[in-house]
Amino acid sequence: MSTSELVTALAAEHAALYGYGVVGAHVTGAARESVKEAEEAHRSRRDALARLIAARGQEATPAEAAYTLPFPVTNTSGAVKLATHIEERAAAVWRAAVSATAGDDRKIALAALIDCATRASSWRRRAGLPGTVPFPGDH
Amino acid sequence: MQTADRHILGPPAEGACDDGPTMGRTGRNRRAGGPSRRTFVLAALAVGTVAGCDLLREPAEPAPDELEPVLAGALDLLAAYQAATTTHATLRDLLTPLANDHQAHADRLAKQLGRPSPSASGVPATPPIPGTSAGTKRLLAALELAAQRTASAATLIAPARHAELVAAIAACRATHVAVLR
Repeated sequence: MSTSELVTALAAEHAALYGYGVVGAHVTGAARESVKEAEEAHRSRRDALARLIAARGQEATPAEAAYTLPFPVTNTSGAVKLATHIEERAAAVWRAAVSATAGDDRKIALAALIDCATRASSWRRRAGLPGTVPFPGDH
Repeated sequence: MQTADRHILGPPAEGACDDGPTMGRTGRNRRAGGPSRRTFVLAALAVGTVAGCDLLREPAEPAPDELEPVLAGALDLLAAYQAATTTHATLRDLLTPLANDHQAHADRLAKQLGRPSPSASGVPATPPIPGTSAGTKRLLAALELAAQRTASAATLIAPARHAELVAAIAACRATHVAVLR
């Protein structure tokens, strides 16, 4: 993976974690559990990515203090919509990384794409939307 | 050598290697008034263009191997979904959007392979559909999982120009497994 794809993917994972912080403040019960699982997945991917970048002699960019939300989130349905948006965006970044990579790096990108697409699908169903799209990452 | 060049340079721009019109133009000049200097220049350009494109162009044949099993998987899944909805009409609302995704995959893959849009009608081997809707969902989930692995394996060997497509198909099939469980 070239450095730019690594850095872009790392930035997407930082942003996803920030976004889930907002989502988590507006949901309870099973949705809250899903948020925790998603945070865990994104955090471990972010950390692995930061280690990979460092191992290649580059500087792993830290997270921003805050990120601009795509829309205001004031209630549960807005939070679920944001969670969907987070995963769809991350899926798009990882899908782009797939074509820019080979070998083990492509495996990492594909696994991340599949994970983000599956979580996006789960959030869409929770919002009562069609659960699947034919080409995840088309956003 | 050609393969390496192709990957570094990528496919040529749309129409850049369309040698048909170039050759036609040369032919018209020849018919119009015998070989002129301009004709020779055009002919030389045409030969240059064709030769240059041969180095860069994706070969029409053989078809890219990594797409074939993914397309076959999409058609097999389509056939299984058709059989499942025929047997269990109550599953139609759940299964129809998933079948539509597979048709979209088959269409896109066929386009990449330069073929007309396929349908599942020619697929001979549809697995027997279980008598219960729960059993049918389990069967479809297992077929989706196997097909997801096929697409994932294809992603890992695909050239960059096909990698995103087969990766997206792998991801879509993974979401289907989750929906069916």
